[in-house]
Amino acid sequence: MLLIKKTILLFGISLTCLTLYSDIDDYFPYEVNPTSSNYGITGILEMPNARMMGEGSLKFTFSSSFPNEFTTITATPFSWLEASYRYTEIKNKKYSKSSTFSGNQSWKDKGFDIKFKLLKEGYVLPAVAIGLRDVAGTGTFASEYVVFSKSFGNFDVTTGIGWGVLGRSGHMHINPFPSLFGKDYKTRISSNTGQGGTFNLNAWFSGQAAIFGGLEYDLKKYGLRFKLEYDTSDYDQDNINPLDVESHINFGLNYYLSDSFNIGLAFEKGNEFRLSFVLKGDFSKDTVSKPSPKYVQKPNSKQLIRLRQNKDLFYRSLNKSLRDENIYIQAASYNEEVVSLAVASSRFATTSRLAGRAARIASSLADEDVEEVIIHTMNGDFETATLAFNRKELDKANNFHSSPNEVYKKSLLYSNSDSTLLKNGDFLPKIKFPEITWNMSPGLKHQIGGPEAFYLGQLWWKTDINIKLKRNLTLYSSFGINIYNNFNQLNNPSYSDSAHVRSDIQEYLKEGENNIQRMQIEWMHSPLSDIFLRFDLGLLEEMFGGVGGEILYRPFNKKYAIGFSAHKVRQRGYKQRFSFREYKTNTGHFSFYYDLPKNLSVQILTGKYLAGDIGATVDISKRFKTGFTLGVFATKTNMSKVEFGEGAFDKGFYFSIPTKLFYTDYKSGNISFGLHPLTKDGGALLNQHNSLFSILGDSNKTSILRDWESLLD
Amino acid sequence: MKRNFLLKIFAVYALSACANLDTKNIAPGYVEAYKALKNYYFGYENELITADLISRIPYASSTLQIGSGSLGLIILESADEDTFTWVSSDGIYLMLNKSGKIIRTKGLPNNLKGYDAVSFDMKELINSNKTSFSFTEYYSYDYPILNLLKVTTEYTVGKKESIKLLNQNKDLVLISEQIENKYLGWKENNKYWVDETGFVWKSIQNPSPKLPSFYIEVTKKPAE
Repeated sequence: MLLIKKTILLFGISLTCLTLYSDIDDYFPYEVNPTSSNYGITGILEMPNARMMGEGSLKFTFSSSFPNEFTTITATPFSWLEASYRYTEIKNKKYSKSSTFSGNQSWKDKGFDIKFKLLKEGYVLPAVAIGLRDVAGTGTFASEYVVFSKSFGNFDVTTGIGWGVLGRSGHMHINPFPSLFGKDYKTRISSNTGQGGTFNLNAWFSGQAAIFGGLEYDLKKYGLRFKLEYDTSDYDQDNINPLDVESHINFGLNYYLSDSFNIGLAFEKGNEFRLSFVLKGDFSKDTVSKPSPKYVQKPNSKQLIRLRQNKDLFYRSLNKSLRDENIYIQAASYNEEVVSLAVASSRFATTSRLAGRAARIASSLADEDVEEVIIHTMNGDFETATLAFNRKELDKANNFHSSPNEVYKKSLLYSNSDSTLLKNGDFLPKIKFPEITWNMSPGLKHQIGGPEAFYLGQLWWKTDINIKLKRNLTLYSSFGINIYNNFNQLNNPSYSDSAHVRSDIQEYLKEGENNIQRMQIEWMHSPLSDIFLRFDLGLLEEMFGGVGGEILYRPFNKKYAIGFSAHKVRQRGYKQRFSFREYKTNTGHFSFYYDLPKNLSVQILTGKYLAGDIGATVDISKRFKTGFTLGVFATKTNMSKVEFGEGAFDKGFYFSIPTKLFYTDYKSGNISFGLHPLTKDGGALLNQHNSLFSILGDSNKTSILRDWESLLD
Repeated sequence: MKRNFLLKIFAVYALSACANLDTKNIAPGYVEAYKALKNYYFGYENELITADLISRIPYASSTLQIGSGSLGLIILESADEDTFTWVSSDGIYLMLNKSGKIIRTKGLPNNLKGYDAVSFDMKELINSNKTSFSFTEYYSYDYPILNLLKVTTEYTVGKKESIKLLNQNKDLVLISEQIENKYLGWKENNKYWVDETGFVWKSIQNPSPKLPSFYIEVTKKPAE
């Protein structure tokens, strides 16, 4: 008995000793932390664990063995949710039985994985997660699991129970669900759903289940993570993807070359080696420091009087100081007590930072009698917001004697979009119309996962020319010139029964290698406060041209916006020059946008799509403080599943990373990536350039207050 | 047909571009990405700090480069018998002891908050008959907090060599400092170039496992 007590005491002391090192462990050269499983989502090798990346992270995983090779993108929109989209190449199986259709190409499979954290790891309790593998796919890898992970110093111990592919083998089989929820869970109906695209809910957590486990060990000093697992998946029993299993013990090693990149080598199933790499980024934080606001020398009292008397001198000084910050005056006025400026900038994407920097400069140059500095922020030709600062409080904050919150308490935020400073400002910079801007750059087009080849693509040269004829009226054009492509291999024409509004993509890619992407004239206007209009005419996108418009009501102080767009369009010729095909239609949607708590946004569009089908699109996105955005969308229309074909309904995901996160200065661009797993005719929206919500959506009061701390940055 | 199309594109492009030809418009994203990568891997070019600029600043000054970051100027903010405090325009503070060693930092993502070690003068090292000296030092940090990290240190006195500084050449003795914490596997070789009075004109120092190397070069010596 005494021996047991001593052992427990010793074990307790050893655990305490391990935790004493928690501080020093932060100082290892690289952060050795849980990495990807073979499937991309955080895990061991074939087996999952209860670990997750930090909120706002994104990773790309490539993991290759025979026969399964996985290429995955994984994101964590919340600390409790990790989701993956995966392409699998199954090298020992042909894409199809017909060699004329897919040649020698191996089978490609798409799938989504999702994992929810149920319990955060505590001092005693383990982390608990529940996950689904290959949901809404063909079901080849369909599995469900509940998993527990607990760390002991540098060891991370995992155990769990798996269903589906994860429950097929091993030595310990148990499924508590039939006794808890009924005998429906006793036998698993086939997870294989043919063409995929639907959730096979009836199969989840049913049939044979197995206990799996694993052990990971971090050798942080050398940037290594060892992995050992008891693998309960058995592909031998799979008539779709048979695979010899000689051992249930897999082991591997990951080496961290930096905090964001690691490579892995593993030996699995007693007969296969696996090579992998993971590229990871935490985009919830901006880790690259940016320049502080430029110091503006305050004029002495004589100079201030001169600036007051000679307003032209004031405006020129203001213009110069603002230009140093890449802020451009659109209009200004300076009277006894108020300085007003309308400003635009391609450097600052955050309204509060733009307004803060402009106000700081205006206040430095303004006479001491001025009590208020009013900044009108602009995007395009729209005045998006007005921020009226109490000059005294703003100066105090700039001298570290006040805070952004105190400045807010004495500020007014509103919108006067119909009566802008452009209409009544004293100073309006002279702009010569037509104003021509252009830029050109190389670009890539892709067609991934088709039967002809896994990757088909084009390297092309894109030239954008914008001619601003007058304020609010602009001709946008975009041309593409082919450099190289292998689209001649495309050999899978559309047999869709509905109008081929998108499914003729192969013809557009092959014949339109040199194209006019867009050539449209656009007029924008705000007739009443918070009401915005846009009309467009011309070649609106690569596949459609026509005429139409959009109206948006964005009440500045509210969290919602409502819009309506309508277009009469005709399908463009495959060469994408000036010719049109026979198909024409009317398309339009009512739209509703709402800012939910936790920086979530929802957009709902309902109306008539390009193929004439009627339905709705729901888009949910999460925006982090840095501007990093993750989103998913799905469209369901009255087009039947049969008519829609593979995938059953349109869906996809996207992410957008602000370019400023990679630079030592502020920039307003984004690196965006969106994926539609399939190009189908159902639920197809017209691609609208400069949609009103894209211009105005991030400028309401909620958005400005979200970033209010940036005011003094 | 293809040629016609290309000609048309060229014509539109030429008409619009001739008045505004600006290389900033050609693949600006790619050019910026190239610059960012170049700066990241090869460091920033020093185009601003010249001998003339230094001579016009009335204060003692040094250049500071952290890792492959841009070269900046730091000014002596204050000095007492044992320490010199330098500050940069973007609010980075470095406190150096009389041996030229960084003993505190402020304004960085991770800062050295404390340094406990035997106090000595570089002059003692270069005038000693021994060529190597061993010490134990303790470093403390913030963000994340770490107190009293034990570091073993070995100084080795090297030979005199001619060193080119910004506006002069000097014959200086190289003193190497090998620092190590075995648990972290943190091992660095700091270097100090010292004149016969023990003043450190140039150094390469690694004050934290979380920070890259600091390159410091005195451009105007503090008044005695």
